[in-house]
Amino acid sequence: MKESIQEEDKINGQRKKQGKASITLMIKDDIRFFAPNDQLRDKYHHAPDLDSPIPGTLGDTELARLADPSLYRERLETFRNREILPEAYVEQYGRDLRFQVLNPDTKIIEGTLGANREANGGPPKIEGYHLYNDRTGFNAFFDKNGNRYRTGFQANRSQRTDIKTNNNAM
Amino acid sequence: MEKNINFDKTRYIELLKKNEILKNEGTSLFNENREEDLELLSYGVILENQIYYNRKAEYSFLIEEYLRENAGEDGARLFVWEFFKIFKKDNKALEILEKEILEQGIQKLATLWIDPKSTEFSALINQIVGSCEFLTFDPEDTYGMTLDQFRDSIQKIYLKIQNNNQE
Repeated sequence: MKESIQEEDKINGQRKKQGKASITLMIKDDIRFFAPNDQLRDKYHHAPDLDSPIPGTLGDTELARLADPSLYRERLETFRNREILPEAYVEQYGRDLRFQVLNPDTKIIEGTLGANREANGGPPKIEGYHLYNDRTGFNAFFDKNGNRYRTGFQANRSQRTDIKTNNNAM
Repeated sequence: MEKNINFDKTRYIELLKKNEILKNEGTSLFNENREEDLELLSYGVILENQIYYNRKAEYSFLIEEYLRENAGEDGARLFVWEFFKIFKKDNKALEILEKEILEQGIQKLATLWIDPKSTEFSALINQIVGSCEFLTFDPEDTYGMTLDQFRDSIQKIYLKIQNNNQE
């Protein structure tokens, strides 16, 4: 954990000078995994799986109130407002992801993301690494193109079966 | 209806209890017996399928709304967020159900009814999950689905959901 944070601080210091967005770094079994903050933001819908804090505007209460079908435009406007998801929440989500990835129960499984989709005529599968924790059911996937974070979620039973039998999810 | 789906309640509870004991010992069925772990998962999948199927109307409403409103990138983002809210609630529901089964035993499953249509419906829901995961707004992401491809995939899945309703 300490090693990951120290190296991450160095990298983010350099990225800041270059005007680039920061990243979360996770070093596990001597492999460096990267989660750029823009990708974490795009996958923020999985933040509840790591019990990461959710801004009040995106919480259960607000969405329940807005679930009335006639309020679609209002729901959309609320969602469009980028201020509803401050960077601090995204960074916390990154830290929670690192904590999960570095958990000793989380195992690295070399495999693919999207083999089922490819078989059904969808986009090509992505080669990479699943970081799967069977105790929590959480699975993070990093591609082999720079070990970049693609997604991470609490796998359902169907996905767990796929990961365990085919080293694949989706 | 349940006879169409191989769901041995007694065996399921036996494996569920075994897994719980192993978890309390700091290990799991996955570590100790892969075959039994997959068997336990297969029963979980049956229950999971039915839980998704029970919420068919809500999933369908959300998809119809997304397709009808055609609100571009923001509409897709909203759809993904709200879809996963329901989906995750359902996944949580299975965890709660399994805890109750462990506490109450086979009685908890006495009135359980598995609709054979739930298998296909669940597969379609899992396909939507895949589409949501592959949706990208990064033009350089060659593995992702563009907004048009995403909408097209949701449309196709929705047609299959409608067929699933009619069968």
